[in-house]
Amino acid sequence: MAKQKTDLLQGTLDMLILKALGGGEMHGYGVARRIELLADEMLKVEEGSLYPALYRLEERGWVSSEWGKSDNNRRARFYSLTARGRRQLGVEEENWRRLVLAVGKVMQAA
Amino acid sequence: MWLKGLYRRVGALLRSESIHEEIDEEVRFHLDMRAEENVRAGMTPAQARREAERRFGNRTRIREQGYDVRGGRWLEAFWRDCRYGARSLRKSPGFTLVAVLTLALGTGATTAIFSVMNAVMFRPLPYPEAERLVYVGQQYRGGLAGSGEPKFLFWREQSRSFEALACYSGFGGAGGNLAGGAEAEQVRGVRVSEDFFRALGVYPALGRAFTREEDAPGGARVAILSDGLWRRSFGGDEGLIGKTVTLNGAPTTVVGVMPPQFNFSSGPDLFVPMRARQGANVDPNAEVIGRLKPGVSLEQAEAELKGIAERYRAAFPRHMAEGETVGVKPYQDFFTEGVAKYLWIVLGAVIFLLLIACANVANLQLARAAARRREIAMRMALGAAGGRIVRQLLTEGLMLALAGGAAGLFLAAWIIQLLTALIPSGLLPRFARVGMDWRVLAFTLAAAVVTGLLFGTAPAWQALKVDVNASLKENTGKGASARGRLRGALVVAEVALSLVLLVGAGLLVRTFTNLLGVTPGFDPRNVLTFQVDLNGERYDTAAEAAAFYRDALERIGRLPGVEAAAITNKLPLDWQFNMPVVFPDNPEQAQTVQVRLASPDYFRAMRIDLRRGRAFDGADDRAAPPVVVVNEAFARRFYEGKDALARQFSVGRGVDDPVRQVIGVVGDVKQQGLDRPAPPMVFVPVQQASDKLLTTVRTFTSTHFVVRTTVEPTSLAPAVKQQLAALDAALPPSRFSTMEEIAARSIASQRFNMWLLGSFAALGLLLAAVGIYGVMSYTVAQRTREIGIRMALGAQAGTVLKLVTRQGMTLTFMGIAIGVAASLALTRLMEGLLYGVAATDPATFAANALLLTAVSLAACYLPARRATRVNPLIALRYD
Repeated sequence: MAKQKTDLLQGTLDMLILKALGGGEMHGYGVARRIELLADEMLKVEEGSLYPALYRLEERGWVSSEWGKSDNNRRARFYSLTARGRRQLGVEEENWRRLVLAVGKVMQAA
Repeated sequence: MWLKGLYRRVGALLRSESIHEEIDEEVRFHLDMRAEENVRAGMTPAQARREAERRFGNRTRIREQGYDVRGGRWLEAFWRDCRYGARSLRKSPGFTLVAVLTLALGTGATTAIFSVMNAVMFRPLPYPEAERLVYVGQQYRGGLAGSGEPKFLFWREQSRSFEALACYSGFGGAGGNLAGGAEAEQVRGVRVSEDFFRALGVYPALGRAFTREEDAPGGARVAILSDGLWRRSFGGDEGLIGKTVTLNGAPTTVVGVMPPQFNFSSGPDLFVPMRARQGANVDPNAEVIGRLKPGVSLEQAEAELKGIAERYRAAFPRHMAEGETVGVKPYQDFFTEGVAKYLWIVLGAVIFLLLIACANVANLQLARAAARRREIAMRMALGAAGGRIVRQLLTEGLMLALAGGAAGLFLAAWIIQLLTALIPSGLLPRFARVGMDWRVLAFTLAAAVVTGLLFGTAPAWQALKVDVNASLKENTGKGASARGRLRGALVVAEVALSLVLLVGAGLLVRTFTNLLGVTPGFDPRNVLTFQVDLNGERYDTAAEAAAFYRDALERIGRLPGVEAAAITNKLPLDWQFNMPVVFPDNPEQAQTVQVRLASPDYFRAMRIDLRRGRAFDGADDRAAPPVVVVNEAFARRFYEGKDALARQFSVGRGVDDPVRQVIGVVGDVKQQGLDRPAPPMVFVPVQQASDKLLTTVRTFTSTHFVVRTTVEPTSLAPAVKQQLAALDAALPPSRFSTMEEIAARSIASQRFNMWLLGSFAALGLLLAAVGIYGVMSYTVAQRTREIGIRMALGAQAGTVLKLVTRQGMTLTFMGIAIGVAASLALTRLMEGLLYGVAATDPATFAANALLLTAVSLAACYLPARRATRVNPLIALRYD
């Protein structure tokens, strides 16, 4: 049975990428797979849009990248969090918790 | 962070291709991985591929987005701007040519002047680690002066701040007559202490430096030659080291030859040991240089020396004046201090020229922008952001400026050649080799970029104000009046800038003509001069010297074409030589005046006017009563204008000079330059000089012959040489010149300044005229329809003429008003360059304002006359 997929909330992709990379260095496809797994395949992510987002994060200095070898021995670009990226992840997690709490309260109010 | 971003962008610039390739590779990897995953989940390869691509989304868009984020867009836009700019500049070759030439003129002239400045002030002195070289001098009232040998010895013994502390002096028998080479010749020498070469960090290329023993009093007679002298007179013979030459009659061993590129002070021919000592008759103004130990700062060295100076005062209280102490400054400053302010003024002037050029190009750009208004409006209507258009126009401006800068470099190279040939010797320090280096190139690049932004901003700013609708419909949009104001402002600025240049140049012209009008106090026409160094044992006593002078003058006097011949120890308009004079009624209070030893015919040969009494003659010899002649400045200063005749004084201290009686008063003669007042001066008959007086005078000065002729003076030089050779072949005469040449040389810098600033002003005026002409032509073209209507309604040609001219002249007068105010503030800075004219001279200001008005009237008149020829019928149809 197919799970129902939800569109990604505007602006949350960056946060998801940071979270995914929080687990360690990985290539772009790895990031896509990890988000997919963590979200239990409930999120509808256009996989291609990961890349501009990754470049943007790199431009901001939250993520760094270098070329390396993948498991199947192919050339791939590997991304990892920088120290600043790790701090940013903390900030985003906190913001997200507060947002969920607030939105939840509003939605529960009859 | 910002820098890192820039770095990445510049990086992107250099690998534009690879950005796309990298993204493509990443995307390919992603799709392959997803497809493999799908195959594992049971799809056919084709299905797997399709599914992977579906999940990935729009590849093209993502590729471009990624490219954008990674700086590719910026780069691409830049290239596109450049290509577009190049195309648009190519489309109007006339504009491009004029703009590039104008900018080349501005940047070229500025670059040339900067490279002069660079050679003097910014390039390190030609010695290794020159930043550690300092000048040490006795200091009072802020100035530093040569400290003399005794103080140097004391400092050297006590100070610990220096790797080497050395003393040098061009006086005291440093140079003289050298024999042993190709032929006997006069050479210029410098006496240097043992550590001199170590201080400079340059050693002889052949042989060795002086030893401590050679530098001690009574040391062996040795010399180190310059490369020039070695090649010129000894044919570059390497075997010369250790051989003996004859210097001032004494055998002297050559121990070294300096390297060819070695350059010091006025470029002496040889060096001899200084043998500095305490006591009398040493050079009281010998200069001291030091090389600081690594890590020792100038301030530390100065603090140490100030302490040492106080100990010196305690030891020799009579040898240090009230308020005197020691000062240290970078050795480079020693050369550049005098000229730095001058160079800044010239650079300021040439930057004004550059600004005028900028204003002109900005004006051209505006005119072109007006023509391109529709194009720009079209692009904005099609969705180009304002920022894009501005960037486009700025890029174009920068391209023009860089092209102008590149062309300017060629022009600068040419101007530098011209300047090197024209700069009078002595205006710049000798070590200054004017040329281009990385500093000059960096300066030109910076100047080009700044000018590009300056004149690129005007049209860019205007472009933002374009009213898209109005511009597309018609060409008389609202932007026109704002644009008109900006163009007007540029004209006002040009006029103001060029007035400042004109006034500056005008003041220098006045200075120069004033100097030409100054009577030097002698008649420089038809006077031949040359120099003989009477060193050596044959002329040790005053009697021997006097005999030589008498014989030499007699021989020269007999030559046909000679009217009178005489000697002196210093020529007018040359360096000074002063000594104290002591008045019998007040022996403690010595006064320092210019002292000359002259032969009887000196006043006749120079045609110096005798005002009172008589000149000395051959009868005033050793047996006769001691006499002296003074000049009017001396009489004014010491006798307050009362009769100087029969007054008494003696010359010098401790030189055995008897009390002399004043027998005559002569007119004043300029000494330090035509622009300086004549100093008090006394003339002692050379045949009455004591041995000691002659020795002292000879230590610091030479013997100059002056020969008044009835024929072309230089034509007598060979005959004079012959006569002197017959008298004593070991005393070669040198530096033949005419007094007219010497007088011209004394105002050479003022002449050069006048031409330099005059050329800037002329170019500035030309550019300003072109600017005014351009603006008025444009205005007339724009107002064709209006003028046509006026004429159709019966306006006369005169009315139209006035209408157009008035507009241009209003701008001119505004510019003149601002220019006058700016000149009043700025010409004050050049007071030191002026003579006989105030920096705010009303006549100069008025004349140049008038000149500018006339030129600008002419520049307005041509377009205005064109306006009167407008045919109303055609004008009304004109779109």
